[in-house]
Amino acid sequence: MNGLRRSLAAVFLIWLCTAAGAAGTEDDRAATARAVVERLQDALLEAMKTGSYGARYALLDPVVRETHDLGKIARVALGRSVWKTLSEAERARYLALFAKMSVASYARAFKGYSGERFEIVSVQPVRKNGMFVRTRLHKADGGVVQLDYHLIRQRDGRWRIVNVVSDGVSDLALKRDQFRDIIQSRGFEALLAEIESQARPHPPR
Amino acid sequence: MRPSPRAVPGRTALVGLAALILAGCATTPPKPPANPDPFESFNRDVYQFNDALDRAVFRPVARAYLRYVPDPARRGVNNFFTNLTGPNVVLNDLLQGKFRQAFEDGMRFVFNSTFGIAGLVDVASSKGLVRHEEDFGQTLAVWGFPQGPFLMIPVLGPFTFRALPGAAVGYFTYPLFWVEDARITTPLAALGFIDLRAGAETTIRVVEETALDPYVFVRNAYLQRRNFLIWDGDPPVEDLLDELDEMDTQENDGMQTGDAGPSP
Repeated sequence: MNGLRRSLAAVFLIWLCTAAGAAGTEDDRAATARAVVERLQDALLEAMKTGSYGARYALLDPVVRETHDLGKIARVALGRSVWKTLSEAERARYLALFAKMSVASYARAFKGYSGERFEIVSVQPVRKNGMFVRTRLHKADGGVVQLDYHLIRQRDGRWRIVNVVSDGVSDLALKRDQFRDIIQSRGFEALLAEIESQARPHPPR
Repeated sequence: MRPSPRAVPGRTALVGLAALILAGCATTPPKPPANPDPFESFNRDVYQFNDALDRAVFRPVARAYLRYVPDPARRGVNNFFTNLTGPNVVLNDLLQGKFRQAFEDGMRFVFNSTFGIAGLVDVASSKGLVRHEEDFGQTLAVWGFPQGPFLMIPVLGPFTFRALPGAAVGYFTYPLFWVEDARITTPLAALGFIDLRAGAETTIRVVEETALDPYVFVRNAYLQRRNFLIWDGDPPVEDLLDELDEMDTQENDGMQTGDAGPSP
């Protein structure tokens, strides 16, 4: 009887430890994912207070590359079927241009600081290895933009952003629809040319 | 979206309305069609027309308004016109069975129309009565009507077939529609249009600065935004997660062929 009680106690202890451990990692994960979003948003505020486009680009370049999984985003935006048909050289060119365009679009959009602030609303796990960080951008005029970040845990345990949804509009879906249309109507080279023009400070349009 | 059974008064009209509401609660918005834009070439022509008209007329007016009218005045104007959509919001709250929200939006309209000086000041928001966006197009979606083809309407811009009746309902529930004196309604309608266009200025700039294909950008963003509103800010994310699953297998392919990863 004593032996049974002892083994039950042992089982209970083990259960308690693993449960606490699991809860701990869950919280740690949420905190790590949250920190990635905070790092990006701090940099965006910093960029808004920075004068020239060039300076903003230089400031954001390392942060955007570190906080986003640009390789994954680029491949989903292009679509699996197209990606498979590309040569190594084409893939490398596409990925390089895509990363530049991503940094450039941040550097263009986040300028002219006038009292904006970010607020993190919630962090929730989604399916396997995913985390959904809901945030709000409070604009100077009282307007609010809902910005939701989808993060995925990498093999090395780091979290990276794979999608940004602003007021319900998914950036990934928006890119994929446009990319598909341009490839279908004008081909892959035309898509590269469009991305290249968007990677420049002032698009021709 | 949960059906909420409740006692219904004996009047036939009310029974009919309640039946509609319950029917609405029981369904979820249907999935978008495989090809949302069967009239693309026509729509692209209309988009070109709208874009040219905007550059020639509406944009200069909106920019002048943004430059010369001070911010507090513009905010008052925007509050005034936003408040006028109140009755439409309340009606569609009711039609979707959102009774609590209908009560809140009703109070919002009453507070802002009185204490808020005909809606110029948004007193309700500071009292915690936040604004909801509802229209008859969303109601039809909640009732289970399919999205229908995407349409680019001259002057007005993007729509879906399902959103069109919403424009009509919005028109008839707009308090200014019931004012007969054209000396009042004409300048107010003009000011309302300028307010609407000025409010869209940031969005339009984003399109110009980041779109690779502006038409596809506008279509996709509009359809996503409508879906977001229909699901009250919380649309199902299954599609995206499926994409990510697909990508994981793709990544395994990438490993074999030598993945380039984020560029140097």
